[in-house]
Amino acid sequence: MENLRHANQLLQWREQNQLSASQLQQASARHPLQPAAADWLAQANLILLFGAMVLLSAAVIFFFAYNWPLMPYLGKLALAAAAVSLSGIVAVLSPPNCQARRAALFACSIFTGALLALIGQTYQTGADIWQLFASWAALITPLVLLSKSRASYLLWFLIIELALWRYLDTRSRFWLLDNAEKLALFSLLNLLLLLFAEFALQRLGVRQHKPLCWLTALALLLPLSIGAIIGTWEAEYHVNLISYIILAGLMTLWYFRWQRDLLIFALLLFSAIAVSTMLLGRLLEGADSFFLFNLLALYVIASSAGATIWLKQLLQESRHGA
Amino acid sequence: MAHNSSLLAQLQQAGVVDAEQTQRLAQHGSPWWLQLLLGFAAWIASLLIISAFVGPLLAMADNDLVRLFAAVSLLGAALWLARQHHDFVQHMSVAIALAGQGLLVYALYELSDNNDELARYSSAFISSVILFSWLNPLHRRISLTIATLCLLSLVNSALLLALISNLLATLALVLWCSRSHWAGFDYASRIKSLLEVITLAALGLTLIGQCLLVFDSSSWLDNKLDVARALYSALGSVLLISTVFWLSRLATVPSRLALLSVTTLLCVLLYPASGLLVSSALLLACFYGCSQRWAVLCLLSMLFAISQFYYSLELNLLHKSGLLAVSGLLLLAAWLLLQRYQRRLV
Repeated sequence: MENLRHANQLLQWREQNQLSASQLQQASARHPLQPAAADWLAQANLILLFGAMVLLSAAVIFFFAYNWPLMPYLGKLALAAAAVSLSGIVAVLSPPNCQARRAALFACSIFTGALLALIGQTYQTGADIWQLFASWAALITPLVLLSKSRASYLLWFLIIELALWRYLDTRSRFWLLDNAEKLALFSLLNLLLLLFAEFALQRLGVRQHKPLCWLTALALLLPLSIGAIIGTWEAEYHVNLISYIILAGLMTLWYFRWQRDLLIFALLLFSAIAVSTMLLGRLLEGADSFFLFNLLALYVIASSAGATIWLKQLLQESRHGA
Repeated sequence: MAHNSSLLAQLQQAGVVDAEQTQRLAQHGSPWWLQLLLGFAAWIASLLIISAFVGPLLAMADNDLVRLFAAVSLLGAALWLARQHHDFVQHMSVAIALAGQGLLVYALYELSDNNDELARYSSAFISSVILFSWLNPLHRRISLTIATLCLLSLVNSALLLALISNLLATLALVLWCSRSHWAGFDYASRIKSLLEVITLAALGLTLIGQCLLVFDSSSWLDNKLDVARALYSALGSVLLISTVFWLSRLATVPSRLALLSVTTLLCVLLYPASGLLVSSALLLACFYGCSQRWAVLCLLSMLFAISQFYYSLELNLLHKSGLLAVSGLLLLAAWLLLQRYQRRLV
């Protein structure tokens, strides 16, 4: 896929008039501007296999969601268990670290969820939906660890997030952000996921794990920043504001000094701009609205432009350093 | 970021670019995530500027002409700032231009006795006119998005929505597939901005098309939903088959026949899931246009289309399950065929 990235970059430079047409033509002799047959094959292999797994898993879920009044409970369970077993057997029989094994384990993880939902539906266990997601995440943990696949880890992270979301939503509406404690708990879980993604994924054999780190960092910074923004106005959320300051400070140190990651650092910078804008607004609460809003707008523009200039410089440094 | 340096080194070694140009290219542009964050910051800043101006304008003179004058002044200032070559000023021009556009639309809305249709037309018109100014690509994208949203919000016919959706998807497919041709044009940067917005709109509309019944729960579209859904599916199938037909033009006859057969079968099976068909066509086109980022977005759209298919009401779950299972098996068979014959293809 390196060829594809080069072609994309060359086309981008030409589109922005940074390269002349003749330069692009010269460059295209060394770097073709379309995917080569090998690129198509790699892409087709990935899409066909994972596409097949997603469609088959969806088919199984749709099948069990259908109301089967005449089918005995045991028959339904046997069918779902057969889907789990079949995908498990394919995974065991496939050579280690190959695409087929990863795809089979991914499908097995989804089928496990379908089986759990079916058990809950059949025996009316009375469990809350968060318990379904939590047990699903717990049961597929070994499969995810074995798969070493980013798709399986993404599924696992999503199920954990859903479990916590539904848990927090059981007593009051979490999406209204009406509780500082819940927001802090949500941030804490996302912090654990970020720590796992940052420190464990590579050791567990997941290649190119950075996109998962970025997603977990975004998932952490969103509730953390929202809590801090509300915390500038409401005393109940002061804990969120303080935890934001501490965590954002630590993350800045880590992602700027020790393990430079400019995307996460940019997220931190822009979240800091959002929180500090709210703080500034709070400090100047009694000021004239014309003056206040223009000052805040100027602050947002100046700080985001300053952040951009700084980030661009850092990007240059990292490019030269690479 | 490392691949840019290696590419530049290779270009310099081959004599395509000199040392000075290498330096310039290394410093040029900013990554997509930074553009996204900047766009968000500009939008917030523009809202603050509008809030700052609306209150005093209403207090000093509750007069539409004064508001029009303020809006035009903001736009003029933004255009002047856009000509200055400094990141901070460029960024400021985006926020001020957005604020000016917002204030202008608000003034026109008030002038037309709260006619929201006219306000949407004028918003689209202003955004389109500004597109031809020298404002930067970030502003161009935001303006195009505003214009597209305003125009689409005026559509209240399901049939027209289906036609527009497929028309936009076709345009996006053609532009992605011909990227290497138009990249050389002087106005390529504008075409790229247009292409990105069109692709987003096509993906959004095709997903809406798949759940027209849910989308039209408040019955704001006309009552031809069934015909519109059929049109969505038929045109989506044609798009996917045409894309595969064109992209496989260099393949051997047996490979091409196999590809077209699998695609046609998929189109027949997944006929009710029009969003899946169009997203697949766009995925292939984006990959051909060398943009992996947009290909990933199309993949996400496909996943969304599958999850939405669960809630579509025209088929029962058993029927849908059967369709998905056969489609999955078809893809699996295609993958096994590829495994068997791929050595001959390279």
